[in-house]
Amino acid sequence: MSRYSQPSRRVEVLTFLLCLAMSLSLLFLPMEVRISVADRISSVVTDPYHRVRNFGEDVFQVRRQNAELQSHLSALELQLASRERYERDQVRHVASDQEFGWEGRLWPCEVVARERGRYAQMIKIRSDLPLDWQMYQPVMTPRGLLGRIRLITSPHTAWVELLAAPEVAIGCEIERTGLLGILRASGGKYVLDMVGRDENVQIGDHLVTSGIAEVVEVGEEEHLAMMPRGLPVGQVTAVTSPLEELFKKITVQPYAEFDINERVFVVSGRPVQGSGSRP
Amino acid sequence: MRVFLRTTIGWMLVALVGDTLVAPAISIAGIAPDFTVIALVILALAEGSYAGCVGGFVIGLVQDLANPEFLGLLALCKTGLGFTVGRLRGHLLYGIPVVEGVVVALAVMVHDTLYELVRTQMSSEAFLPAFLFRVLPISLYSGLVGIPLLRVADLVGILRRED
Repeated sequence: MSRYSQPSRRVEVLTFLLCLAMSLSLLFLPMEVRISVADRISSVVTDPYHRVRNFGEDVFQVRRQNAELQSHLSALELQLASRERYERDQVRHVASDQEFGWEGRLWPCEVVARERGRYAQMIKIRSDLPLDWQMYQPVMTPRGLLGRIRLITSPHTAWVELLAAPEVAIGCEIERTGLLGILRASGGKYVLDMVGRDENVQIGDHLVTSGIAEVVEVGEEEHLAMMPRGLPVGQVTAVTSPLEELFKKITVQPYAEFDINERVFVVSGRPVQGSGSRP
Repeated sequence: MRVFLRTTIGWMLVALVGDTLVAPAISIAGIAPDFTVIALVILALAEGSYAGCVGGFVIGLVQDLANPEFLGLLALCKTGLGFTVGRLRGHLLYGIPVVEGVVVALAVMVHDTLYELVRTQMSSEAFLPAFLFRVLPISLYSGLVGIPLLRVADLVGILRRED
């Protein structure tokens, strides 16, 4: 290592006294002069530093703010879709007390653990705020339904069962026609079951949740897995009607991506019933 | 010259990146380590009291510019601290994490105590809560964070014994 000469003890002490004197003289300046001096020096010396500092703090805040904005945007989109559905239901002369959508809010959560592998079935999520988690509460990405809460580990964390899990069956509705079916994962694909072979289903039809609860058996107990109506689920990619089958074979591509989520939203709130008046 | 460059980059990195990026990320209930004091300790232990007091004055002055009401106060505290810690160089047991942690914690405590005494105009009603709920936790936290930083500084050859 190269060395360079250290200043003598005398120089050290003189420098120390000089720095002390400068500090004290700054400290004892009249307030107006002090502020003026600070203003002039800072405009040259510290403004770049403060810009860097503010940028650093912004970087940390941007992700959180982005998640909150995404949750508000998704909630507004869901509410807008609910209103449009209500109008369509009215046109189809559906009974006015049918559930037409959802009203509530989305809680942003961070994905903190996921199963490795092509077909992950569970993820662990963490909320910055303590949440009143409910079993089978829906979880979304900004694009669509991702899964549902399966295991609550703390007020901040829970495990989510993804749509890819074999136990998951979601009551869905084809948005264009209102036809009902059950979406489940099967052999690496997602299929919509229980849609009659003569029904009107087209490639490109959008699927939303139907709001029909699923009965889930856990041991000897039965639980109702509630899912509000109108959460976007996926799009029909293939439809066939085999002669020997009572039901169509419908393949669906979910909107949510299951392997790259960093932020997801837990859906809380209540379904909204039609009452003859506009929402 | 290479050592001087390494030292300069090292303490500036700790002060700037630590204060800008790391401190907000690891703060607990508003209590974050004082990376500027940790950087000053590294500088003073590496280069001695001359660099310590000049560096302390510069760092303190830069911080003071954001708070003109006490312009010169942090420069004063850090000048004294840099000079004193620089004087300790060569008198410490190097390589013992506890010693390094205690040095950093004491440095932060002395620095912040001086600052708070002047800021509160030595009023015990204002000083005691600030000492108990800010100075002490920040000192302890800084001591803990200081240990790995001083270890790294030692490993990369920044901290040196008396020439």
